[in-house]
Amino acid sequence: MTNLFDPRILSKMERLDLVARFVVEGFFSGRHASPYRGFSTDFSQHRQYSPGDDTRRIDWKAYGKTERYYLREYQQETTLTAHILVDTSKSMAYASGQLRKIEYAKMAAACLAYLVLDQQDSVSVIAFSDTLDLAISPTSRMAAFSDVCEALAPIEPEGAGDIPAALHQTAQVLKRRGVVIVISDFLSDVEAVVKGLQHLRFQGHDVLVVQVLDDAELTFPFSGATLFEGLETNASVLTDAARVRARYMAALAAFLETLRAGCVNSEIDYLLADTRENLDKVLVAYLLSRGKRR
Amino acid sequence: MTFLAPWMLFGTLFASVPVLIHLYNRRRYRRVPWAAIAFLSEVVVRSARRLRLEEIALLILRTLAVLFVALAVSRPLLSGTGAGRDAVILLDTSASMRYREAAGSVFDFARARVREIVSGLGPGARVVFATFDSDARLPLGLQPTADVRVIFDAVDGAKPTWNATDYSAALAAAATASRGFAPAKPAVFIVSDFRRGAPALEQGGPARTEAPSGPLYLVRATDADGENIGIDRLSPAGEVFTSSAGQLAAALSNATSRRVTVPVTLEIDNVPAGTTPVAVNARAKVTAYIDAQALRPSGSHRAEASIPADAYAGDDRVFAAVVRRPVALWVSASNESTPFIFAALSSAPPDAFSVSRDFPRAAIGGASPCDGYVLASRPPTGPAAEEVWSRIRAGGFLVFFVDGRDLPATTAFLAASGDQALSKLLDGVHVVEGKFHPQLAASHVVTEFIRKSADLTLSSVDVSRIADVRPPRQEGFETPIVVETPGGALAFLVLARVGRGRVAVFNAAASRDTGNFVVTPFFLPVFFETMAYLLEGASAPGDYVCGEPISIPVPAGAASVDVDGPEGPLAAEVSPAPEGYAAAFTPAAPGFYTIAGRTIAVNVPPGEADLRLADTRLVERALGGAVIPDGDVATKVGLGARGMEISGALLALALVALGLEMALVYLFKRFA
Repeated sequence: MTNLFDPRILSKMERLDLVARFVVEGFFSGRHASPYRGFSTDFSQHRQYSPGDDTRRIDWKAYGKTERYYLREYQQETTLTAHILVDTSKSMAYASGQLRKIEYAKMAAACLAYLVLDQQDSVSVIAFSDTLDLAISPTSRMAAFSDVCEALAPIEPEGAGDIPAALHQTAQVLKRRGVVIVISDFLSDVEAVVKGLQHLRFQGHDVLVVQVLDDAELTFPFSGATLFEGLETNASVLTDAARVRARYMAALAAFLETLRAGCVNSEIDYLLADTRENLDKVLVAYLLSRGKRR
Repeated sequence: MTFLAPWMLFGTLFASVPVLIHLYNRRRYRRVPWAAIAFLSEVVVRSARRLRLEEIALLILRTLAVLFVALAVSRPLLSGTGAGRDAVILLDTSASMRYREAAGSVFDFARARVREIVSGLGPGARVVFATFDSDARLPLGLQPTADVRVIFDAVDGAKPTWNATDYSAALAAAATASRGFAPAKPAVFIVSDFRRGAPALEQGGPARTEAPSGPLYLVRATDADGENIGIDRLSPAGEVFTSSAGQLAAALSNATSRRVTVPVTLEIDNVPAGTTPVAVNARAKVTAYIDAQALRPSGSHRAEASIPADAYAGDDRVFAAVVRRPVALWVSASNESTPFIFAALSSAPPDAFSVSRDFPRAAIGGASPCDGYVLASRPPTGPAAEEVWSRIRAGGFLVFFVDGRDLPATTAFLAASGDQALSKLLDGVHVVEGKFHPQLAASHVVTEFIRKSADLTLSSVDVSRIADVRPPRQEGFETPIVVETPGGALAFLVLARVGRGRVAVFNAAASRDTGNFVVTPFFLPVFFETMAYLLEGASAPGDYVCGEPISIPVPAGAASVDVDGPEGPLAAEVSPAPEGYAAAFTPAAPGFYTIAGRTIAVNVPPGEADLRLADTRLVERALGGAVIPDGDVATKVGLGARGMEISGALLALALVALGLEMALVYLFKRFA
């Protein structure tokens, strides 16, 4: 049976919005209505009307009972805003098979955007490499989803990328608290990356880290004399791949553990996504993250 | 250090192969775009030193493995580390070793091979040297000697004989000699020509009770394949068969006086002694003798058979056959000798002999079968003597008891044989009467030997064993038994070959008047064993014999053709022949004659006449050793004489290096 969430299959669909709808609606099909829907419209209290208030918010039922003007106030005045940061540095162009990391990241971002908009929250998409590039400013209109996809679709990896700087810059730019979802391979100085993430956390954002890595980066299946050529720099390494594999795997495990531990210590949700893994894994991670923060 | 296979040192160049492969692999890599390059660089930089050391270690081990193998196949010898190699060396002295090639005689080549082997054994090597043909002899005894000069003297003193090759005797001597080195196991070298005719090789191997303990090397004295054009003339047996004497007698009883003469074609390889060719008609009712004298010993013959007319239907097919019958003896004995001779003959099994005393008169021109003569009286002279020797040359035999009282007649009779050696048998020596005196050591030995034989039957005494009693031999004779007199050594029993026949000359009279031989207890066994020996005496198929003209087809163009033989150069006259031209000559001495580039054997023992080399695999299978071709024996055999060969150690080192390399590869991967 065809796996509906297989990114390698989904990547063959040209329209990113269709991919997102397909995944999200397929993910929720047959389930009960989302328990998280409408959390931003929960009633909080009544407040006496004062000049200048929007008359559309007057509770006419309360006026009928008391002949005074009251306004209804909700627990959360505005919708949640999810900021989706997509790493577009050159390293995201790597693919050992058919699917590049950037494609996986873009599909994951689209799916998350659709899910957020479907829950009537706001979403913004920020692409970053050397600098931040605001692709879509916060919007809660479902109609804007196509804009999100159109903004994501043409993105191609370029630039050396500076993830820690991008994270710090994001933390400074985003004034309003929200959910920050960072989709990247995080192949950078892990200590600096963790500090950047902590910066976001300190700004009051809920942070979800989605680390996208290729299967070859996780298993290093090479052997024999191999010249590894850097994607972001001109550096290259010639070595007997089979004989450095064990050391590479050990160093990779240490790297991943450092990043994961840094996230856990800062109450940041962390997900390692292999580009061969299904996209619903990302959705589950997001929903679980939201559930914990609620 | 020396190398037994120095040309294999080129193999050390292969030691560079691992380095070349390493360098080649460094230039041959695949490109992979990589995202985590900084991350990987850090890993590689941290591992670089270790990786380089690992590479160098593996490279060294691989190079060493190849180097060790290359050195091992070059077979290096560590000088000064090993003692000389003990050896038993047996030199073939059989008749075929007399064969001369363009560069010299095969026997001279063989002696050179022996010297090479001795020289290659190294310092301190102990050697037992033996010669062999039909028997093995130990000129230096069984005690091993390390004196090279003594060994070389013995080698130089060895001479070829007229005996046939018996590899069983050589192997038995090798086994016996090897025991003298125990617990060491000496290498055994048999230096021979290994020709096809040797019985052991023809029969797939000699009867052997004990193999030499050490390695056996079969050293060819020559790689030159010879020929004997006499062999080429062999014809298949055709319709020759044997019948019993009883059947023959029954057939003859039906004969009548009227006879018809029927032409018969006889395809025959040989007429064995004790048999006679006959003609048999298709109904097998009539058999008649064919005159043996009218037949050559081999080839296709047309003869005439005299068959009773009433038993012959005219269109009967007549076959030629050979039937067994009693040995036909013509006996001439003096009055004093007669009792002893006939007593001896009568003690033989019934039907063993058919004796006629009408000798020599009836023997002359007679058509009846006559296999041989027993002469114990005054020898015949004139035409009678010529007739006797003619029959002997044709394949008969003669037992001659010499009576010293009539020396001139005896000498004249022997001279009539035409055999140079036999003619001079009695020249210049005092004829010793055949009295066996207990004080004569040698005769005592013979006597004691015979006495120890509990059962004095025909089969209990072996003439060849008697021959071992006294090894000295006279050139040109087979001398199984000798006695030593104060005047020097003189043969007691001389065995000679005359033409295709054999002659036994007892230097003793068969009477009590002049000797005591006939009354000694070994008279009967020696007499019968001598008879048995003589009955085997027919020449090998295809042989030529002394005294008989040989005609060889040659191309036209010269009046004579040079013949190279044992007597020196001869000239064979060329004359027209039915099928072109033929060169004819009469050999006077046994040996190998070369005419027009081709070789023929004259009076050479059976098995020695075929000059073609036996197949190497056949020789190795038959004798159980390794054949070493003609050439540098010491090098090819790898005696290890000048030191210890370390090929095995080098191969072991190569295996260790490979094992270490595999272990390191595993460990490097396991603990990378």
